[in-house]
Amino acid sequence: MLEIRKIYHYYGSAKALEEVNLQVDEKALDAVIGPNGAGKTTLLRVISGLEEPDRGKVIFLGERIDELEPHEIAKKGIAHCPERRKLFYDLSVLENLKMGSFALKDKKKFKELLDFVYETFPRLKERKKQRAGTLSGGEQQMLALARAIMSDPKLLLLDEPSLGLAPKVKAQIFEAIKKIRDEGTTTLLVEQDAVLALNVADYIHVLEEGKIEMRGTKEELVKEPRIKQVYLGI
Amino acid sequence: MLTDIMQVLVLGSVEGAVYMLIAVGYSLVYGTGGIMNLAHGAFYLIAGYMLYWYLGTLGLFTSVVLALIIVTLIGGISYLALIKPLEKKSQLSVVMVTFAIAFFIEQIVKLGCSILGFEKESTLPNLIEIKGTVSFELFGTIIPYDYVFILIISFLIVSLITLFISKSKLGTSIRAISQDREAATLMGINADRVLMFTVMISAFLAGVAAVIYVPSYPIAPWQGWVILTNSFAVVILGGMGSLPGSVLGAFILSYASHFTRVFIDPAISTLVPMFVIVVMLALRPQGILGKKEID
Ligand SMILES: Nc1ncnc2c1ncn2[C@@H]1O[C@H](COP(=O)(O)OP(=O)(O)O)[C@@H](O)[C@H]1O
Ligand SMILES: [Mg+2]
Repeated sequence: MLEIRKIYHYYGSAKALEEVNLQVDEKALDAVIGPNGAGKTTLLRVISGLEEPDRGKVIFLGERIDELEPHEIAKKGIAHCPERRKLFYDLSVLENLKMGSFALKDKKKFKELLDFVYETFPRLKERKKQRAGTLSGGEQQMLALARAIMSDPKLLLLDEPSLGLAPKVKAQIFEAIKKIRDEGTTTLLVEQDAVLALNVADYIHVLEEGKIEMRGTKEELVKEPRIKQVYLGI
Repeated sequence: MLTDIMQVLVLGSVEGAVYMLIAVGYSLVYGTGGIMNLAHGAFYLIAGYMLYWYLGTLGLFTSVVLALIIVTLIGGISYLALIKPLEKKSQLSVVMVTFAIAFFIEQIVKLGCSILGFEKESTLPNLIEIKGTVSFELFGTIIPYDYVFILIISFLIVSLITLFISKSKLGTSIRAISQDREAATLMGINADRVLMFTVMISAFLAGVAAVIYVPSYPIAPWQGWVILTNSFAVVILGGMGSLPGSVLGAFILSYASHFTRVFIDPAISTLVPMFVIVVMLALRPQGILGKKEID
């Protein structure tokens, strides 16, 4: 479904991604793990068009998208839930959700998605009239995730949805991510918390200093001494 | 004394309403795209002169409609052809290009007057005439019906714009972009296109201000700069990007100017906007109701 071929990205002369290849299959939940500064955010930004790669191709559903504008990529069916949420803080919860489905033409689908979101996160329904900026950190993350799925995406990109959250809230968010995957949405998750990522993902890519160093299923990766030592601390 | 107070109240309200229209558009464009549009006063000129040039041949209604269409289109074209290409480069180049647009329009207006054989500075006939008279008397002050019309139209249009921005989908996306442009593009919003709309709305508002005010206030090519300075003072006072702030700022500034003119000195009253700009930038750069500072 998504194919990244030999992507290079530099910020000025500083290298952020180096020959990154990655493929996500339809209906899969893939994760990219790696330490802070590894290039995970950059990778997602390249896919959604916020950064133009210096070399390489991004192919989505058989079509090259790396030269498109972010809003065009969004309309192709890629929803990017960005790092640190980037909500519209002065808009209400409901308005944020409506903006999430900005590109959605089908009114009935909107209603369905809204019901799904409210059922998954009842807190958002209770607070639909409230300004997004007044929500707690956990609720804001729920809203960011909800806003992303309101576009009915074919591919969902999630950038560290657990960042800065209490363990209980983290678990809640990850329950929701699983639920969304079970509904059939292909997902690419970026996470620093390797334990969480390994538990939820079908396939894991390890990104270090801009390069994919290793990949495999959870079962394969937990056998690797380096993974155990660096990521799992065992 | 009473007529002096009436003057401040009446002229202050009328000019306040006009500046409200002008400043709401100016503030909208700044708040949404961070675009400091120095051509905003020139948009007023375009509509004002179009009305002035067409009025004799096309009649009032057609002239007004045409003036508003043209100014709105020029707003859109200015954004697409000149502002947008520079916007990603730097804030300064946008300021420079809008300065150039303003200057260009001023020259075009002068040139147009020479070619078409019009005086450069002129007064237009009143818009409203009821039973053969153009004014009524209130507490010993003669008030043109036009003033009432100006107040009604300004508040009507500003209310409609406010309603549009707070309720419609495009309006919500304008607010979304003003808060986080990058996030807005991730929703599939074409931010450039929405910005083009806001510049068009803003040009339209300046155009409405011109067509309702030009019959009451003589038009002149240099006015673009005065209008720009005053809009700037209004939004600095009210808060950049805050629409309620622009409304409040417009009336405060206008009453203050007319109060100074009537009770202190007409020469000093023209300095009031400058004074407001300097004092606000020094003491409260975010304005009365604004959140962000000018950067
Ligand atoms: N806008 C930027 N300008 C310059 N360097 C950046 C920028 N964003 C990220 N970087 C650098 O690129 C590298 C990768 O960053 P990032 O993709 O944010 O990593 P991660 O998300 O894995 O923490 C880091 O070294 C970071 O400092
Ligand atoms: Mg990151």
